[in-house]
Amino acid sequence: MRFGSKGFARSLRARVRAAARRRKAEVPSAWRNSVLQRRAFSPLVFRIGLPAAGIFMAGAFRDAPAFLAGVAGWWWLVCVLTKAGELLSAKQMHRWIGYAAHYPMEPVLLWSDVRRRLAWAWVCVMLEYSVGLALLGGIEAWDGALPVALIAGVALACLSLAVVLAAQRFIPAAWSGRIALAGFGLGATGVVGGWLASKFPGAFDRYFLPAIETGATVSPGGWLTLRFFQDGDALVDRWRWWCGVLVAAIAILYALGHGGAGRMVAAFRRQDEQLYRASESDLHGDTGDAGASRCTREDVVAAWRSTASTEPWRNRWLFDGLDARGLSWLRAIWPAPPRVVVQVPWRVALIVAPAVLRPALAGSAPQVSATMHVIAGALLWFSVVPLAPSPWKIFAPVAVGLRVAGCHAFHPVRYWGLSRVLLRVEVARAVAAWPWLATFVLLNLRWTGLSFDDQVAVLAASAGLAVAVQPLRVVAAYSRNSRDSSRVGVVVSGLIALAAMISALFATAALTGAWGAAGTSLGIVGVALIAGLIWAVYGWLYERLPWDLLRTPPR
Amino acid sequence: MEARLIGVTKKFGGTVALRDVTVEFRPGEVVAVIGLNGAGKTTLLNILAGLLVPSRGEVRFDGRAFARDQLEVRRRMMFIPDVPVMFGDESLVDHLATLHRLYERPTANVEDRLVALMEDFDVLGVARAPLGTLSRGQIHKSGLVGLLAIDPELWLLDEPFASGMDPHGLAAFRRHAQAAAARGRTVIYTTQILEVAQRFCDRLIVLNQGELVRSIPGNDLRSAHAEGMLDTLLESFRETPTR
Repeated sequence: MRFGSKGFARSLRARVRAAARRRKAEVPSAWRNSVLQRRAFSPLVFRIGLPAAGIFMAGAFRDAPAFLAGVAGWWWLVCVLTKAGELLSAKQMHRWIGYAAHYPMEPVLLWSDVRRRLAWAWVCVMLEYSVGLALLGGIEAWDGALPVALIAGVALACLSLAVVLAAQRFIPAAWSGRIALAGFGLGATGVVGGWLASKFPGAFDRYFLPAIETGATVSPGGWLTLRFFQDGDALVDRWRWWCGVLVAAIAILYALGHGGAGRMVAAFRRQDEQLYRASESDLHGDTGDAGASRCTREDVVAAWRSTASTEPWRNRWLFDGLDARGLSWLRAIWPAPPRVVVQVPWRVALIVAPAVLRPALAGSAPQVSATMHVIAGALLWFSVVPLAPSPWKIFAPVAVGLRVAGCHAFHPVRYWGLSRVLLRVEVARAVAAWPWLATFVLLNLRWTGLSFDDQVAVLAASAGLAVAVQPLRVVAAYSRNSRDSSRVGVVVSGLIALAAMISALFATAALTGAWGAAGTSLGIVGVALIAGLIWAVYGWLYERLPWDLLRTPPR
Repeated sequence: MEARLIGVTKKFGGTVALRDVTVEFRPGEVVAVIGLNGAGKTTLLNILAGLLVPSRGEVRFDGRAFARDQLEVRRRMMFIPDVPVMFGDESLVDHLATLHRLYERPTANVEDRLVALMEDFDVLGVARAPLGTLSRGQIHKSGLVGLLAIDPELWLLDEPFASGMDPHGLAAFRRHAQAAAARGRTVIYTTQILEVAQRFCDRLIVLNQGELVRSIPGNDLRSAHAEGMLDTLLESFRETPTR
């Protein structure tokens, strides 16, 4: 059959249809669940929306291919890190530990599983990294933003699709969905962004360029890449190698430190404690922890009188988990929420490390200096992300999500009432976390060359933004725990996803704009308005559309 | 509180969990819902509680169509799933305080009643321990104490007899449920244990593959022909082809 003939085309179409039918039969509903029925407002969309917005805005600068490269670099760096970390997530660890405890399973099997997952993390890292290199190479060689945006978007979409198709047999379905969505989102927005940029180049140059530059200074990823391009002249021959080492090292560090070994050790400890408790109660007829200190009628009455009058409902999330960790005494003296308290130590170590290492290494070779800049930027990213206000993590809800949905579902509470409580708590948390964040950011901003006044302005703007974007956290928390797109069909899901992406796009533009306008409150007000609008629209939909409040999977 | 499902169908993707179910629950009635795994028992309770939305049909309480933003209606019912939804770091006392606030119940002068309930279910000694540290049976007992403290008009309970409660707790549950029905409360629970349903219900509803196949008065279940009736029921389950 001749290539290009009608017969060939018919045969090809038939093959594609047959393959699609096979695919559908082999992977029942996994593809649709993970790709098409993704919850529209989930953090994933924001994860897509933010880098997509970056590409979109970068596409506006005809004279800034380096920045586009920086945004692309930012995107895949974060993707890679997130991916590596999630491959070794705490949930997975708990599952392993549970298996090991309940079945006759040798620990060595666990380690082999860890090794397998590390290998996968490595494959993902290298894949993303090599694609990023190819993109960067192309971008450097191309003197024009529109084609670059188009090519970058299409290339990423194709690549992501290829990755999905190639790896779907090995990577869990949820992963496939994420990769595909990220690729499609990025590609589509890149195309649209490129087109818009070609239509309105002057406006973007005038309004966004200063904002981007300033934003990149405080945004760790952007700062990292800008510094790289500014200081990297001496690394023309070597930067790829250094970057590869850096990305791999950070991924492994992240996987082992955050999602891997540390979690595993902690999980083993918890499991040991639980088993110990169980055996103790079997022996002594106790009722676990509770049996150790049985309370009396008088205790209960006294506890009731104090509890019922202090509105535990309103206060409950602020000091969540403190008692369980044996840190209840910190309530009285500590200004920051417990999540910060328990997460600080190893991040402090990471922050301190470059401060010690950099001066020691800076003088030895110019490339070391530049590399340390990059490492410092990455560490800044790590330090900022979990604490609260970063342009990235701010959209990811904390553990309150399940509780929110659970409460809303099982008890008579409205979205509005509950989310207002949550908002207050989240704002209080953000404010309480601010001393930590300010310290870390100031520590790292020393390397940016900004004056102290500018540093303070940047901090102030970031603080305002941290508070302004809290409504989005609430929305994400709700969306994550309900089947908010399960009843509205693919088309409406797609429209909601599109709306979410556009919202994320504008939110990002506003975020960056606000940083650029540090010292003025206009940008922050804009962000607050956008976040509030999204919160209100979602709430309106949440109360009215026939969404299931339980995430019952199709059987 | 009268509850009624009219032509309710619930689909999860291509799976039909409930198929055109029409049933009425009257005040003062204890209703047992039985069926094999996957028959749709929990889905039925979820729909009554407003957690799931019917794909077709409607739910009515006291003759009025139900939507989950009707908080005044939701405050008149409580659903305890097979694993009660509670905050693990909260104590039973905290949990009760939270429930009182959410269901807008007065908190003054209720201490004696709460303590009596805790004693009834033998959870007084652990009332200040974090719920996450309690055993499964104790957690379910705590959930029941919360339900009794609120005393809603409609009780929805998923598998209370397979909840890990000890005989003392099960007996207390039966005693309180019967007393509540006598006060005009509606108690609906699911179970897979035919013997339990036979002894403890005013009406038995049988679901099979999402369809309501039988509704048997409790007196009939306890009559001389009951054993034969239950055997026939089991046989009919076996004979029904899986869709």
